[in-house]
Amino acid sequence: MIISYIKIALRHLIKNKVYAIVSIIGLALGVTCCILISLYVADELTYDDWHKNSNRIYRVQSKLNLNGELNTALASLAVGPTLKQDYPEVQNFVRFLRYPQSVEITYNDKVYQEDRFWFTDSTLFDVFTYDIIAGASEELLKTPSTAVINSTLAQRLFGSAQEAVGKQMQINNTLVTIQAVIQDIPENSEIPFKGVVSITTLPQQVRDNLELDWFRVATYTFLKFNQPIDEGEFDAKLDTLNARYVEPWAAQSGVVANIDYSLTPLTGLHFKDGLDYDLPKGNFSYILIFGLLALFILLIASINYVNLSLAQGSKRAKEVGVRKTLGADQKQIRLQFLGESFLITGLAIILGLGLVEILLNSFNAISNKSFTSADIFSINLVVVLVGILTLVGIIAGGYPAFVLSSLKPVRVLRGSIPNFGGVGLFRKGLILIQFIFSLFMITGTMLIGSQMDYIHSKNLGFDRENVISIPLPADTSATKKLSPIIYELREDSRVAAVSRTNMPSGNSGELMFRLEDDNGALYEKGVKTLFVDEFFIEVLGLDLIEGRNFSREFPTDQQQAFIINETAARRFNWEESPLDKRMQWGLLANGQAANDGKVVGVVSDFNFLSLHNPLEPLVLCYNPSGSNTISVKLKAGNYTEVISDIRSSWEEKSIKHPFSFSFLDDDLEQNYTDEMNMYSIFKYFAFISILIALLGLFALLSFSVQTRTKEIGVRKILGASSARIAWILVRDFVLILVIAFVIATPLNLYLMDIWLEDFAYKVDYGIAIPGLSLVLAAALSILVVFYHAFRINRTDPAMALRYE
Amino acid sequence: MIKTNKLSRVYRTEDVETTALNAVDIEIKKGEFVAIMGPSGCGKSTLLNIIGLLDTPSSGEYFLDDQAIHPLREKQRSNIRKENIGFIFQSFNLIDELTVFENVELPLFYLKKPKAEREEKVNHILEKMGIAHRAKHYPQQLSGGQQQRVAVARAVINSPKIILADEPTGNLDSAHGNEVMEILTQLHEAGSTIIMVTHSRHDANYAERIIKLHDGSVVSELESERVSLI
Repeated sequence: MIISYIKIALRHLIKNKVYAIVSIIGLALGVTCCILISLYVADELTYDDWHKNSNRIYRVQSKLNLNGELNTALASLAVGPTLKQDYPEVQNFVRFLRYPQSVEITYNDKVYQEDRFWFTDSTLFDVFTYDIIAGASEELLKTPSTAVINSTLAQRLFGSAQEAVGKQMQINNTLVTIQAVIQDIPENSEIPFKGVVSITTLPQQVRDNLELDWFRVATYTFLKFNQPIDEGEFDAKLDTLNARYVEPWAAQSGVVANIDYSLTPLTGLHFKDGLDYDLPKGNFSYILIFGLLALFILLIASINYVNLSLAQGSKRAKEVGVRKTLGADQKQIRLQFLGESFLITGLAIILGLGLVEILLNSFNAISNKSFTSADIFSINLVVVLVGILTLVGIIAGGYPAFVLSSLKPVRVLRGSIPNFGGVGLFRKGLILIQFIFSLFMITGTMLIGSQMDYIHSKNLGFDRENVISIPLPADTSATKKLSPIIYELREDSRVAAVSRTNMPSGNSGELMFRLEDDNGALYEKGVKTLFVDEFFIEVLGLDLIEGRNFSREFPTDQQQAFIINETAARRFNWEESPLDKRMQWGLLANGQAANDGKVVGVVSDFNFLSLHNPLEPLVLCYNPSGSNTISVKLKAGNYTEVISDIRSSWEEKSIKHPFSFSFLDDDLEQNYTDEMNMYSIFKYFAFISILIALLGLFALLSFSVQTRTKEIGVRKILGASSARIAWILVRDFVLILVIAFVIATPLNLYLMDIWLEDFAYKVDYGIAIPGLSLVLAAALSILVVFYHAFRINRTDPAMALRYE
Repeated sequence: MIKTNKLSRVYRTEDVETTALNAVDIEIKKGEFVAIMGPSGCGKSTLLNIIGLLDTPSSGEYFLDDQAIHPLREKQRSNIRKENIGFIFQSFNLIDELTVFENVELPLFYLKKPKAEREEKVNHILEKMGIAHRAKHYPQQLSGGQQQRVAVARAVINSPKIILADEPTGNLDSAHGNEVMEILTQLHEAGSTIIMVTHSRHDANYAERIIKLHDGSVVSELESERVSLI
């Protein structure tokens, strides 16, 4: 019985290829979007959920109140051990201290640049769960200079995980022994490290300093409780921590300050936003948006299917009449058509899965994930697919099935076939929804694109073109060998300026300063700081508005000279006469400081932070040779030559460290990866949705033409031009497009405003963009119409009448 | 077997009311071969549809085998129709997506007969109709005459008590038309009750009795020439 229905369904599809292809492709596209987005959402929602103790692990964060508030994701070194010692419910703790930027690993005279290395406690494997594939599983990371690395790194350096165990490798300037190798950590983890080194490796004095200073928030600290807790309850105990240790310590230094500690459960970390110095977070609103988008695309594809099925109805009506005459009851007719819709949906799902395989790599690139084919066949996804099959099969297929099964046989057989080719209000409503969504996507994409363009071209207040950054090795002996390069570059006529400074690329560290107030007294304030040499201003093309630049001629400049930006001058109330105002950093007790000096210059404002942020006060400190980056401003011209010359010069110095460089422009881009990804995804979604809508329009017009063949034939005979006929067929759709525009545009603009709130600098768009998308949608639709008009033109009117 | 009492059928649209049948009284006995004739629009197809339980009368009564049909619901009518009545249409009304075999099989399919039984009966009737060699072909591949033979096969496969034929030769040339009429005659001789709508005098004379309709009313009931000649 079922086989018979399937056979017929298949034959029907083959006979009506246009209908079949449009329906299946449309649904397949919807399925593809749903699958990809499901993968993404599932990944985002399951960060760190594989750890055995995940439900009782919490991270400590510190809100420092020290002349202003600093709300960070970090905690000082002492917090973990103290909480464990004072409270029995804290079973264990583990801290992660980051290696500054990337590390250089040297083994067998080969040097590798790696990132994601951390110092951590030996308690790591008690708190978190990792898959140890080689080496010991006990007593890890207790002694100094021990390390655990991941499988990929082990293979890269040593050939295999087994080979790595017991070997020694040099990380920056330290030799460590590898105790064990773990399976690569899945990407959806808060700290997906590539390697960890025992925290005891740090010199005792460094650790002591870090442990003493409660305000040196340097680690991500995780606590493992003996059972899941109520964070509110534990709050009181965290307050005690502050009262018992932090405040007294601050008082000792003559400062009134405290720290407000709080906890976040491990599984809630990924979306907890808003803290300074936090690890990359997920964006929950993006998840909602993408989820909704995927569902919508599936919706409009299903709408297409419903519309097309109904349009097909005229053809099937006769068949239904005959079957009913021969004894079929309503239930059997419904089953038959539902069976067909399940078949189509099933085929669409299979095609969709195929599309997902093909698109997986591109999707990974856009979403910054690394899904594999195996992920596609996980339980979650199977559930999603079955859900889609059921929903679309029943709902989308149900309506036509219901309508067709209630046809009265006699009406049909006498030739009074209900005209499904005509488009009733309900069907017009469906098309309206499709067009609203498509317009929305197109406009949304253009708006995001224009904001991205704006960001790329916005004047940041400094020269960002033609500047390259060359990272120097951490190894000081290598760096010594390389320093001649700086002088060579300064002599090079193709080079405008060279600075030994990290170029600002969106993030900036903050130091605690003491500043002079209106009365000459000093108060404490955190200010963003850059350490630069005397060529920094030149390389970036900044304006020195007042005072002077740093100079080697003044040996005290390193500790006593500061250059501030205009915003700082304003913010500190120094606008009138900023020069010679007193500043300190490296603060000690009793108003003393390691660096005590004054403002020597004021520089023009520039966007050293990403454009998400407005301008902030900035202090430049003089550090002529401390930075580990050479920044080179090239004169306009052929960069490839210069860069290759630099490369040769570098390699001549025969150090193990490879030469690499990046353009400042590209580095700045990194700040906007989230938005760029969103832009890409929107573009794809927009393309898919307009494609589906157009497919639907195309097919509907086809059917309209078919069912109104006689009418068209008669009109032609009576003298109507093809244009006139095309207009008659299409005028309904034009109205729908206009209504869709009227509905979609305010919605777009409203949502766009919300998205732009994330940026301190926004593009000024007008009605131009929504108007443009309307034109685009209309143009595409007109193409579809022209196709049909053209065909009508070619048809012989007599042929049309013969149809009867 | 079939009896109607003041059967009427009125079609109403928004503006227009059409009376297709006007208080029609007819009686057809078991085993009769009756032709219904009349000009276009006289209501003959309407009468056939009501007799065949495809349509409901607006007023009046219809008895089939002494059972009152007019008050029944669609589901009940469908059941009676399935088991008792076979249809032959002017435009064949075969389903294009099904093979000849599958088309003929349909009534048994909807009667939920087991597969073996269906196969046996279909093959038997196809043989009888002389189209067994076309069993796996699709309707579009057959000539008009062959298609109608398939339709006839389909109509009789469940050995219905009544066979209703609406202009069975309308779309056929004379040679094929005669073929079909011969088949109907054979079926009649085997005991079926046949009611045929036609506007061909020639076809009508294959029947025993001719009922003439005009503007929705019966105007005459006569023995056909065939009978008269005997």
